[in-house]
Amino acid sequence: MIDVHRRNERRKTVSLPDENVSAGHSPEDLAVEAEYWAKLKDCVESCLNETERMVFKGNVAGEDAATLAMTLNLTRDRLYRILHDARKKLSLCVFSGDKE
Amino acid sequence: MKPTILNMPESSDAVGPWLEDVLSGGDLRGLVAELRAVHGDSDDNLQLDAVMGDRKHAVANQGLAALNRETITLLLTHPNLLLDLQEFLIVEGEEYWTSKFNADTESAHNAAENVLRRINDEIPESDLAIKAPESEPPTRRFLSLAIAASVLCIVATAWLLRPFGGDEQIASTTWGWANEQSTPQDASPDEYLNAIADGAQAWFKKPPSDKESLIKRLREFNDGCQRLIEMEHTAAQPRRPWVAQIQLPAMEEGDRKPTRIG
Repeated sequence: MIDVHRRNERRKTVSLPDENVSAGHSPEDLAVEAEYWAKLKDCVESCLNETERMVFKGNVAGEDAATLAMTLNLTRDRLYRILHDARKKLSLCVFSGDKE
Repeated sequence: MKPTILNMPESSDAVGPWLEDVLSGGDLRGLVAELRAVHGDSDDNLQLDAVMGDRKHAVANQGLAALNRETITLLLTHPNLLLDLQEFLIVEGEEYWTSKFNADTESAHNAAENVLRRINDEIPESDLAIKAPESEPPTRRFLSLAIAASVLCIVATAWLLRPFGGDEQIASTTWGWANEQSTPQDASPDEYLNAIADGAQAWFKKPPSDKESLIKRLREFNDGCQRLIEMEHTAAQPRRPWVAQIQLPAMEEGDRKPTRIG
């Protein structure tokens, strides 16, 4: 009885993959990720102007758009426009290496 | 490379549901790294309990809708807390989160990987031998552990509450193994063992309704156990006469094998 139970338990288990060699996280993938994160940090500081940076950081902090717009003395539409431009610049900077 | 942070909703009202999706199986590890890159290194001393306060269990039950915007902002600007939050939700999340984590196997796999990475950071590699059930949700595993711990507590309580004057108690207890009918000496071995099993079942006949009656019933049950351990079970022995010939030698450290004589 106990043996049957143990056998069933064994059948139900599966080993979790080792760190760093799991699917999608080979050493090469990890190196690419680390490079991307470093690039993102660099691009936020170097390719966005002051207003774009504040709007983008406010957005990724989950801040309320209306409050953020009021703080920066912007209309809401203008805020969304700036956020759109900031994302576009970041995407270009991170993935093509272009800095404006 | 899929940038998670650039896909964040523009409206702050939509951030909560989006974050729930990431927590329950999106690329949380990637998001945390991206948030660190944007916000810089945050205060590592900030604890999840301090940030969420008494809303923690509401989040386990209802999701991030239980948090106000300021708390979500704190989580996003201190991204390490998101990993703590995911671990908490895997362990203590209610049906709301269980269904999200079980939505697809890839989600569950991503979440498990995040937790495993964190465990790897804290435990030496040599001590790491973790097996995860394939079909069981993580919460069920912890539920099993909780039940096992509860049973252990009951047994320990029964042991601690055992009476010192055991003989008097045995005399006053009339159910279960304390009852002589549970060990009929004139029965066949099969009948004898069935009677003992019936004696154990007697525990369920009268569920204790309060603390005092539970303590009393545990004491009585303990009395029955004690009687069963100490008495001679001659009725169960005739089919295995060789049992009587086994003599345990004086036990020494590491010596556990019985010796057969004759």
